[in-house]
Amino acid sequence: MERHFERELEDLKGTLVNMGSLVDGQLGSACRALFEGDLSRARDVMDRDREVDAYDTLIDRQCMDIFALTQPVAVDLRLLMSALAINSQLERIGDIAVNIAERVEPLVAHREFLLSTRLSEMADIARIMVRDSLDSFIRGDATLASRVLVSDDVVDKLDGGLFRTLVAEMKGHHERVEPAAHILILSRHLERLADHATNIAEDVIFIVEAKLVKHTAGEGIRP
Amino acid sequence: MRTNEKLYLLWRKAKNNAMLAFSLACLLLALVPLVLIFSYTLIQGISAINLDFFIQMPKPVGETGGGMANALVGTGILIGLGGLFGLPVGILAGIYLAEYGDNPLGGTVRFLADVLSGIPSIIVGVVAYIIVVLPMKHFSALAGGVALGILMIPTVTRTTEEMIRLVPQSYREAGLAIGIPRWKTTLRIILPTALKGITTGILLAIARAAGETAPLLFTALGNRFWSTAIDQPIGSLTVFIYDYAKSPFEDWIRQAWGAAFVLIALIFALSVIFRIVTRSRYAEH
Amino acid sequence: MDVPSDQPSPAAKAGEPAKMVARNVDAFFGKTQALKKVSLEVATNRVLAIIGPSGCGKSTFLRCLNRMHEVASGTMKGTITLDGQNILQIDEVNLRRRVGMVFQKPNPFPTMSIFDNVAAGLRFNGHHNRKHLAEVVERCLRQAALWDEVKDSLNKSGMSISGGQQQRLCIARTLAVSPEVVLMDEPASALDPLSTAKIEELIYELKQNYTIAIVTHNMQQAARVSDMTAFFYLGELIEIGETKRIFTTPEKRQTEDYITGRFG
Repeated sequence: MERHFERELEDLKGTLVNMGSLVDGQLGSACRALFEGDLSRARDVMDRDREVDAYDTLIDRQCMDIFALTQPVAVDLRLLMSALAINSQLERIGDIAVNIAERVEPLVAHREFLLSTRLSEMADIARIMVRDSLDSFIRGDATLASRVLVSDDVVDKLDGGLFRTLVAEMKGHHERVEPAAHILILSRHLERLADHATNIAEDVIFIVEAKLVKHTAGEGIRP
Repeated sequence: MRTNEKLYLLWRKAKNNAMLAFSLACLLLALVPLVLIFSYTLIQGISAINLDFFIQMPKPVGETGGGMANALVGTGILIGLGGLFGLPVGILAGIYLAEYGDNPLGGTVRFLADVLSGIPSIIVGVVAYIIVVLPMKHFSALAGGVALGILMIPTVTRTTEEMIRLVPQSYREAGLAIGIPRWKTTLRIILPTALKGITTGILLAIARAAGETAPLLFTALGNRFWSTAIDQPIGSLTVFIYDYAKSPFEDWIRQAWGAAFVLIALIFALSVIFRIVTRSRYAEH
Repeated sequence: MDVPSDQPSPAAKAGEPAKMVARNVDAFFGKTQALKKVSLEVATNRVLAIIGPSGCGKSTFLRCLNRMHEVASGTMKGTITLDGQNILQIDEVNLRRRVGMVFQKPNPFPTMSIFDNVAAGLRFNGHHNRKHLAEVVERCLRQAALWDEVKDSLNKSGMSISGGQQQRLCIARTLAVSPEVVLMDEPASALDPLSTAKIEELIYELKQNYTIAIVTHNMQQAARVSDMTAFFYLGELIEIGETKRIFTTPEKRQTEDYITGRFG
């Protein structure tokens, strides 16, 4: 029997999906602005963060209302709890997009150097992780979600490699210290981006399979 | 189980069985008079019962045979008249007491009904004599009907009131809540619901009236000839039995037994018919 | 910039006057005062839930709305209006046609069939056209989500169906006289969870065409089903507001204590 509040759960899912699209778009724009040295695009990203925050507030309130008014249990309860968690992850991903956008200006003069590093590779992988984690939420696909968890290691390794490369670079070429520092920080941002995508994927697995996979060491899922 | 527990169990079972046996014995004891009366009158009167008994008029003194056709019909007419007078009054009084009677007037009416039920039936007959026979200047079925009607009233009133009170308040509320006026709710919803119980009361009242003799002596008097006019004296089973039983003729005494048996059987049949007719169309819940 | 926002408050359509308004209502049963200065509005085509601990006056208030308190020898001071008209000045039989009531224990008339039960309100007020009655009975049984289950057994006794079905039958019976307001006094408290859920969904559908006020001791039900919630305590209205707000951020401490189960 369909209950009338199922509509509210669907609406909530829809709002989350919209927020996810927005955040994905922000990331894309921010990375493009970074690697193309596009200042005005970077400014757009920073302006649009207000929208991301508005979604954050909206979803928190929607969740609270649904909790209060419908006393969800089982899958509905897991969906709601994870919605709150995913909401907060998305909001932070939005912030990272802004952080990336903020570093476009200082690096605009160092595009070659920037492009010579593996940062854009990292950015691509991290963005795919975010997109896959969102897709897995939309489709309720725990398998896709678990693939995201695997990719986190790749990003961590790239981050470590980039650190070593840049430190060597800074030792050797003093004039590159500043841009290198920015790139280091960007690398850290991207590493955290991958972590947020991983968290979202773990929440999806929780919703779908009622299994808590957070905080388990090692790659992949342990049953 | 240990020994004391076994003993205690046996003791309990023995007590249970003793109680059961005792109850059965009491039941049988209560049934004995009924069975005795039935069978005794049957044995005594069976020889008088044949088709003629039911369709023929009484024969003149000295001749054997004949029947009690007029008495049978007379009882029917008297009960009919009595019902006509007594039932509406009783039922309406019962409805009033149940629905509107929680006040001093209601209390008075209830008290008077109780008093009325205690008055000896012969007195009621005298009253009917005074109020009907005297003005009419002769005995009549009408007067008999009035007497029987008065006798029916207390039983019908009390039973009707009880049965209506038993109907749960929620049905009244349900009726009122869909905009049915109070009186219609009482008549069309509460009354039908209480009907089964009320007809039991009516049956009791009719059974009592059918068995009355004394009041009829002053009112309907009795009639050896065929008569169905209500302004004339009329025969009845009970007066027939009274007259024939105290006569010196053996044939008449035999007929009295037969009539007695018919009367009992009639009342019994009445019960059965009422039960069948008022059985709810729907299964008991 | 497209900033998403919440839906506008469903509590009351802006500008539409309330269906029933109570002002300073006191209610007495003999010397006992059951209600003290209760003032509230029942918004049109919305569901108002009335909650509170036992003996708080919620059922009494509900019964004042269609003057059923008079059946239990209650008296009322203050005013209650229906579409602006004082209900004491409306003939009570007429009032009860416009403001219907469903009770806690399902009470279909025991001597009547399912069809006759639904048609009772109309039939006993002079409508005898068989075809018209049949139409109304079908319409109301459909509205009460009972038609499919009983359409082949309309002549069976009203008592031959299950408790949940009987309650829906009572709802259909109430709807048959075309009320504007439907009052429900703990309509699901005597029913099993599935029947309760069916009744709740029914209420959600009905509010499109009727104004509904429901008394319930089940707070979660009030949260699921209503648009506005009123909290009563010891005969007084403590707080009334949009259900969403009452169950997330109530204003009064008493309200919060009650709905969190800390008392009552």
